[in-house]
Amino acid sequence: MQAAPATPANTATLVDSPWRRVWQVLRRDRLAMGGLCVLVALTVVALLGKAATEWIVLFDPATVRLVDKFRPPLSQASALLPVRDLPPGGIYLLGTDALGRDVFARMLQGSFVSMSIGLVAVSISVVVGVVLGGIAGYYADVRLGPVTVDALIMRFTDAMLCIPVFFLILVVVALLPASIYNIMIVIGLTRWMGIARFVRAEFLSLREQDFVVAAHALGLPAPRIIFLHMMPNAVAPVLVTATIGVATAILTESALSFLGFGVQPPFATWGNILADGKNFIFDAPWLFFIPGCAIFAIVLAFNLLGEGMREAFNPKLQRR
Amino acid sequence: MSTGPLLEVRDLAKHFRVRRGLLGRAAGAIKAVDGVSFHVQAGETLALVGESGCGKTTAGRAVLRLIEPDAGSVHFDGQDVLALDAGGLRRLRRAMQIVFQDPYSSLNPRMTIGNMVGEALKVHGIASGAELGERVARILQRVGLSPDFRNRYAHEFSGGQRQRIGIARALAMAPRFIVCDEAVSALDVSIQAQMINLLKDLQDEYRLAYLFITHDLNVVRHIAGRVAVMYLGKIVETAPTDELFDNPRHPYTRALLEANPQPDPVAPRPRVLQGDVPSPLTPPPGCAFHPRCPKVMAHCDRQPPGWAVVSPGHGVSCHLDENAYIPAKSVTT
Repeated sequence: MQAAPATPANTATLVDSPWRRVWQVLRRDRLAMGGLCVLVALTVVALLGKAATEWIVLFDPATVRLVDKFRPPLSQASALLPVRDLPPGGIYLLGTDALGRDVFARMLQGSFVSMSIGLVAVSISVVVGVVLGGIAGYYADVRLGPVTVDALIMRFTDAMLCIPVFFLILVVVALLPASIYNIMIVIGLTRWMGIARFVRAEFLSLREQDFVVAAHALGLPAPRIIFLHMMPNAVAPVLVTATIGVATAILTESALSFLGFGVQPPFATWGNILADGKNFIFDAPWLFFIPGCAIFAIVLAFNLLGEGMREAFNPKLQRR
Repeated sequence: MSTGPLLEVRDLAKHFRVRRGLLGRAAGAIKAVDGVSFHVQAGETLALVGESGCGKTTAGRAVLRLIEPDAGSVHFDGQDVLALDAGGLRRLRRAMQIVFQDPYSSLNPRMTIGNMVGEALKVHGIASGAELGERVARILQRVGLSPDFRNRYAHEFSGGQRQRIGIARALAMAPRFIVCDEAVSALDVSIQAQMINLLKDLQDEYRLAYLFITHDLNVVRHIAGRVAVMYLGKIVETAPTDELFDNPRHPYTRALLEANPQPDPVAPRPRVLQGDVPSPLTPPPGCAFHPRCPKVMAHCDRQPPGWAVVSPGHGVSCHLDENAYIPAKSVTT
């Protein structure tokens, strides 16, 4: 019998792309994989939680049950409640707060807020950072009047870095309605500077590399050189920064909500659940520790994944 | 088609301005290429040799406008390269290509080699779809790589294979002129020989012209028909290859030839040139080579030498050949 000829399917599995190599290193990093698992689980929870709290009455996080104030986690719901106010299964999985609202339902709602604010804010900062950093790096020598494009953009970046971001956010939030979208945009627009610096530095060094010069020599148009030749080689540090940036953005949102400048009640976020809980820290410690631990877990997971990616992108480790 | 040389370069200059301090005051200029003239005929190889830092790479890139030259003229097939707008330059790039020294940094690590070789064909609208795949396969085969490798990434190949990929990429658009910027210098000797043979075969097949930039005179002997020797941004001697090796006129050319490693262990030790190349920021007055020249004369540090033609096709810029000087304007090197 003849050996089977190589089909496209089995040659494709042989392809050893740079991304695959990164994945192989990352897979061996237990902490990073742990972080990734937590994040995947939290994402699923956030999406399901969003759906459940929106559409299923059982999970309504705004249901007030004054008979069931400060119930500890896993306690039975009171028999006096009307059926439509009962928590899922008749049990308060994570207890209730000062108004008898189900903390489990509130945490579910908050998880979606935290995740989406983290991801959207970081997406905004990545787009702004990559565009500004890319322009500064690629068109570094182009002069606009007395200054170069590079100098103009990077001095603006420096100026932004000088502003205490948290106070800037507080001012903006005080002036604009504190909707979830405004908070996403404000956090995103105040956190792009590190990414811009990274991308600029990468572009400055990539510009001189022979394969980019070769792309020019082939007569390829500038957008193609920027997006297909330079960008894929500059994204590694951006991905790392972005991953860790999600953690920072979630912390910022929580801090804003904690201070009362964030997403407004009755809409629950981890930050405002925590803020409510701080008044009852000795009587109802779960109100404080549950959102606190959730914030801690998600921030830790993003940081571990980010650090793992930083390692995995290190070419010296890939060669093994 | 014009009847002149394929590539004609005249008085090409590139000065890098050095800026210092916060406000970027101009602190001087590095004359990396300072009035270089040469020509390359279709199907011919001109070697550009010199020590590192003499401006040969800059000259090669300025010809392709990968670095914008400050002065001079470049004519390719009768077309004024420096006057072209972006679109015209893009069309011209099909005919003029470059192969780089470092086979590692010259290939995009995040692109498959098939895409790398085919990309320009696609972008310039030369081929697409099945025809594109076929052409890529043919080019890969022609440079000695299996077309099955097209979905692989550059890091999976050895240095020699990578250099073949670089050549395939340059070859894809069927150019007529290729700048080989130290194209074989980073390879070990056996691979070097393969690569030189490949380049020569391709030259015969497609009537390619090469500007072969190198510091390795052994390589020059194998591939080049003519040689131009550069020192501190200027060409100091040009000659047909055999003539240059048999009858070098410039003391710098002689020193280079003597410094070239000989395979004979009992051969007399060469006189090694003393000192480094002077800083191009402050080149020596007169003849730039005078501080290192073993035959330096009294007026060498004051008067820059003119251009002397010592025999047909053999020119030199040195006071030793001063009685053969002719006015600079009527020279074609």
